[in-house]
Amino acid sequence: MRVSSNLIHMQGLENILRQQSELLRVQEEASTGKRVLLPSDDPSAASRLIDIDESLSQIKQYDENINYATQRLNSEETGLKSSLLVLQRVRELSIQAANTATNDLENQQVIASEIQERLNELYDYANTRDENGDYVFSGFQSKTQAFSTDGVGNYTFNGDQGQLSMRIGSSRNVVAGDSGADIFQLVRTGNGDFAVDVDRTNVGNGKISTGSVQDRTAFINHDYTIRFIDANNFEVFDDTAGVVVGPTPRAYTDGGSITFDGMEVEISNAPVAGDQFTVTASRYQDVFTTLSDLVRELDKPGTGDLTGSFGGAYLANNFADTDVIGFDINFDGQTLNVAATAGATDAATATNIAAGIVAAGAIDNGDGTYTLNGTTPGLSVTFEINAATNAIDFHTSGGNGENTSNLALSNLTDAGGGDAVMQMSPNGNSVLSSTSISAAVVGDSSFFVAGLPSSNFLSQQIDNALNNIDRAMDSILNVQTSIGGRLNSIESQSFDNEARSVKLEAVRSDIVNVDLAEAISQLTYQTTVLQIAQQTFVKVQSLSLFQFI
Amino acid sequence: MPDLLNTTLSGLRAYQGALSTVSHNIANVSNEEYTRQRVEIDARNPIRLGNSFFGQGSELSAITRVVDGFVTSNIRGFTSNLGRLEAFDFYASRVEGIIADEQAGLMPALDGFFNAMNDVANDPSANAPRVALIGAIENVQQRISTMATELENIEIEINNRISSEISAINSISEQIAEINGVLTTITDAGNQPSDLLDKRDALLQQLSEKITVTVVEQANGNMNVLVGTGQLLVTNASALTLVAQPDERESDKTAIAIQSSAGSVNITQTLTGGELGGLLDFRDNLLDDTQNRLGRTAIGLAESVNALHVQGVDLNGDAGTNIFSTVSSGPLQGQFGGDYINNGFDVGETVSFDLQFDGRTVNASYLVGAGDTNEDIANGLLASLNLDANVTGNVLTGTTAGTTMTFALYGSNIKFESAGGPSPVNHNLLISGITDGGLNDAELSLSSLGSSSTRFTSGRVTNASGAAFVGPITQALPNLSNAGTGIVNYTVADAAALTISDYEVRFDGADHNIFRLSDNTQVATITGAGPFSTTVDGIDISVGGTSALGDSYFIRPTKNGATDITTLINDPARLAMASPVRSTVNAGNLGSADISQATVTDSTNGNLPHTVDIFFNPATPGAFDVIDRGTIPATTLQSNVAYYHGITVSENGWQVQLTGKPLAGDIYTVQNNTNAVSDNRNALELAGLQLKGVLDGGNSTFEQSYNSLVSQVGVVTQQVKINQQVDESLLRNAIEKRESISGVNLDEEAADLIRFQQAYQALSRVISTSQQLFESLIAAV
Repeated sequence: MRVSSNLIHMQGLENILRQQSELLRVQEEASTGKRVLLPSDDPSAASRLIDIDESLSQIKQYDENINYATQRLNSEETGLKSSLLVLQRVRELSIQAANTATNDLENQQVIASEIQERLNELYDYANTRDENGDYVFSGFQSKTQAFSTDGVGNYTFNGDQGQLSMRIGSSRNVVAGDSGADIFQLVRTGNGDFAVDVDRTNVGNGKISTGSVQDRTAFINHDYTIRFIDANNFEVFDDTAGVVVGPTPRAYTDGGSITFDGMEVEISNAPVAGDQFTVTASRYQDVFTTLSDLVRELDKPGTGDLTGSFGGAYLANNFADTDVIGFDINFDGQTLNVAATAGATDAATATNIAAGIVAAGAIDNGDGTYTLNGTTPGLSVTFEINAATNAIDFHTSGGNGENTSNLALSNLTDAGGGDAVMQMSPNGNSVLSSTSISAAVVGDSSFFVAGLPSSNFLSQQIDNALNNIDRAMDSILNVQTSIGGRLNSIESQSFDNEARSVKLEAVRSDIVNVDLAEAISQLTYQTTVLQIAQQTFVKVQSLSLFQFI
Repeated sequence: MPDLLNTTLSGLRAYQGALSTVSHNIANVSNEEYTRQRVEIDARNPIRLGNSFFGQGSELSAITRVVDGFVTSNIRGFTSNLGRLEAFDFYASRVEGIIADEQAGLMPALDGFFNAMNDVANDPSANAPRVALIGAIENVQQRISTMATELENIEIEINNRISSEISAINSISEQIAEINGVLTTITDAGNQPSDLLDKRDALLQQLSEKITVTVVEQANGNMNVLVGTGQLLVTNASALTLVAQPDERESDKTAIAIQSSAGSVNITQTLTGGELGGLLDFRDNLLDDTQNRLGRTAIGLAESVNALHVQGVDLNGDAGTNIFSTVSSGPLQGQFGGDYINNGFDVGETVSFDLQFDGRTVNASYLVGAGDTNEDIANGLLASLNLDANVTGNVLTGTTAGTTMTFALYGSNIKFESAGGPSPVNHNLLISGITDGGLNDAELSLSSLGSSSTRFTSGRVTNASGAAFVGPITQALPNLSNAGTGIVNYTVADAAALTISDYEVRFDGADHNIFRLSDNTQVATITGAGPFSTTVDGIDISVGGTSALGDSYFIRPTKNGATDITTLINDPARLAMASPVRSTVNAGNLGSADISQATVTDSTNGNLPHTVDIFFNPATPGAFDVIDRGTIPATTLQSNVAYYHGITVSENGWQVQLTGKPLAGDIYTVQNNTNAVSDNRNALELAGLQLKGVLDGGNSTFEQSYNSLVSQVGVVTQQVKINQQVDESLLRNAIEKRESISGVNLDEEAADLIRFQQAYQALSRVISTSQQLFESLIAAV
């Protein structure tokens, strides 16, 4: 084929240019170690690269989330471990206090004071804050303090039951927090199904065991009262349904098993007529209240509700017909100045006195009872005419065992004969200062005071508290176990993430990175080829016929 | 006697010419446009003397151009192809650079956004991650906006280049025409000046770099040039001009027309090849496609992020508002009213019409009294709106939570403005036909408010026909050849349903037919009878005005999605990362059932913040009531619902699930999530968007959608590069062929030089011999 001079030149030059450009490309690859990856060079590789980079970025974020979650869970776990130790200690102290043989009030109070310290410690753990000042156990409301107290033994949870979730894998979330409600607040009482207790006003020394549910299908979550008719007979009363359960009366044996509605309890020692034992379906009670109640029982052992009566047999006691009678009732800072007119019969007198009590400020409940509210919130005394004796029966309620409230009668006046005498008689465990007051004696007064509860009452309270503490520890252990499980799950996901990450990096490297050995050898080759092209160009260009003309 | 001298002289003349041709060749050895010239030396006609014919020497009969027309035309063809590919590649590589850059592409910004969202989810109450998230949001918006702007700049650049290419083409074709003219006057077909022909070939070559041309040789040696599908650009000695003008269909694009005495004909669609063809191909295919895809990704991102964000609750306890704004958000604004007294509002008539907005219908009516002015009438109409239960103090509350419409007096008009509600805002204010209980000739006139982008479907409301304010929306581009006065508007209603196609609305005399241009199928129709709007492929389209037969309108729903995106939140506390509701197990419960954390199913439900108790009524064992305590008195929403493990309860826009064993008396509560600074549920939902199929009808995540965009550009560009290489080698072959035929070979010329020189010398020797002969003859005499 005929070749023109131009063509010779063009081709030679083109070769040189092409080799130069190729050399440049190889140089770029060798010096950066990366293949130049525009999508147009290799669309499928570029597309895969985008996918891979996205996955790697996500995995990196998951790892960060894992760090956060692990941190939170670890610090939570520390708080929970400490809480368990506290409760462990309280347990020991309680058992110590239960050893009533060697304890007296002073020892009890020392123990109570240490339990209070432990309570404060637990309270602080529940209100743990993290490094940002957020409350760890407040649920979603981390700027709000989890638990607060009014200083007199009432505790409130101010957070919510929210739990923070974090994504640690493409299809896996982990819960990274727990609410104080789940840990400290929603703790069941007693044995988890029901809780037992003795009545504070019991006279006998009976105790009731923790008991258990024997037949879950028969268990109906009701509240019951076991009432002792006399020392040998009792009946079981379903408070929720309002009926007696099982046979009545039932014979009592010390330590004998009592079963009803699938439940089984034992009462031991020697209860007397009128004693009551309660079996209530388990409620939620926060652990602070449990400890606080225990402290109170140890520190200021059981004063409580007061019962008694005054009056009765009026005619026999110089309440002559049409005598105008007056007397004061003092209770918890409130005074009733009662005025009444004696009647022809004891019943009539009783009615007039009751009316006088209402007139003096008591509330007529409309069912024959009259209530006076004390100054202490929740504390009140209720009066009722005893149909049999025509005395005025009273009982207080709302006493928390701490306030030594008493009921005093004084300043009896008799505008008639001036010689009326008001008889007083205690009930339950109340104690009288004197059995009567006389109108003839100026300023004569007498008062009822709640006595100490029956022996074994404190023992029962400690038993109950131990149960509740066990439930609280169960609650904490549950959450701990859950945290452990979550940490495990996080760890396995972390391994997973790492394995995936390594694999993806390898693939990415395959796509993007250049084999340096290959690149360098290509560089050498390319340089040689360029040199050859240049040399041959010069050689060929110099060949011309005109040199020989 | 045969003339020795003459014969020799003729030879000398011939060889002189030959030598000068050789030197001409040599002088042009590196001229690429040059075709080598060969001399044809023929013997002169012989003389008859007696019985013998004596030759008369030689003459230079012709200087021919050694050229193969086919090869030349092949070269032109390959040059056009290559020019097209090079132009396409140039811009495609730029687009590739904008989109696929590892640092500056969209994926790093999007990943940054999701990572920042995760960081907030890890510590929702802390300020630092929130500040970082705001930064990441702004980064995403800026990245999208920058990319879109750069693409727009390319578009502008191309449109400008088209103009300058056209000028170049025009000047070249003029020159060709000139040469044609000159050649006609000078010579006949057989003997044309080679250098002019070379020049013309070179011009044709230049022209083919710019555009594919078909060259037709005429009988008289002129070359006519045709472009496109047979438009004559150069006819003999006259050339038509190409002009750049706005495209009829997409009036902001530059189109190319050929201008003749009969007018201008748009030939854009027919132009292929050459740089111009490459520019057009790139602009109308790859660039448009890329802009649409990017726009759709942006709209999808904005819509899905906004939709989730408004479901949440921020640090102040307020519901979230939009994070991004896009083409389809903004308030509805306008005014209606007019000169009532002169428009049929007669004394004694009770004028009445309905306003419909966001699910509410409100009636405006007024009894026109004697002596009422226009202002009085407007006042009265406005006052009557307040009689509706949903209107207080001139503010109408819509059914969508947080959406209101505020009315006010504006001269004798009533103006309105909408507010609130999630995006995309697809609000219309419909005004029904107006009755007046009398002559029924009352009319309202509608107009816009200042620079609002709200459109209205008709300027008047009459007894027979209502009208609607629609928007804010974009107006479709009317075709420049439209004869009617129609208006077509559109707005994006549902990003998940968007395609990347453009649409055309064509009026067939009765109905507006909507065509999707990617597959040229008709997808919807707006009939002449109304309603005057429809939704198709996620786009709301509405028509108004009066279209004429054959009118058409061009819709590009996604193109501006990326350029228009802005961020609306800059206060970290207003990032709504929490859920509006939470669940609680009541502390007095005997049972041990569990209630799942509440999830939001409908954030627009106005009763969402109400506290709702799920109460296991002891009167109905095994069943529960659902009681809404947010109303006074409390409302029982459901009663005596039989419980089973895993039952779901949905009310007021939330949903929960109950598991386990509840007991009579138990209460499980769903309530307003107040003070929930550490709730990250909405943040988790937003972070989960990264893995969710949000686009393409729910089939692609952002990453997949963006990846397919990058792939698309990559594949097309790769194809172009490969084709470029192929074409380069084809062109090289053709050029080699041409060179081998028409190129000057110095060695060949050197050989010719020797040959002709020898002949010349020989002939000179003959002359000196003839001189000697003559001298000897003279001496003999």
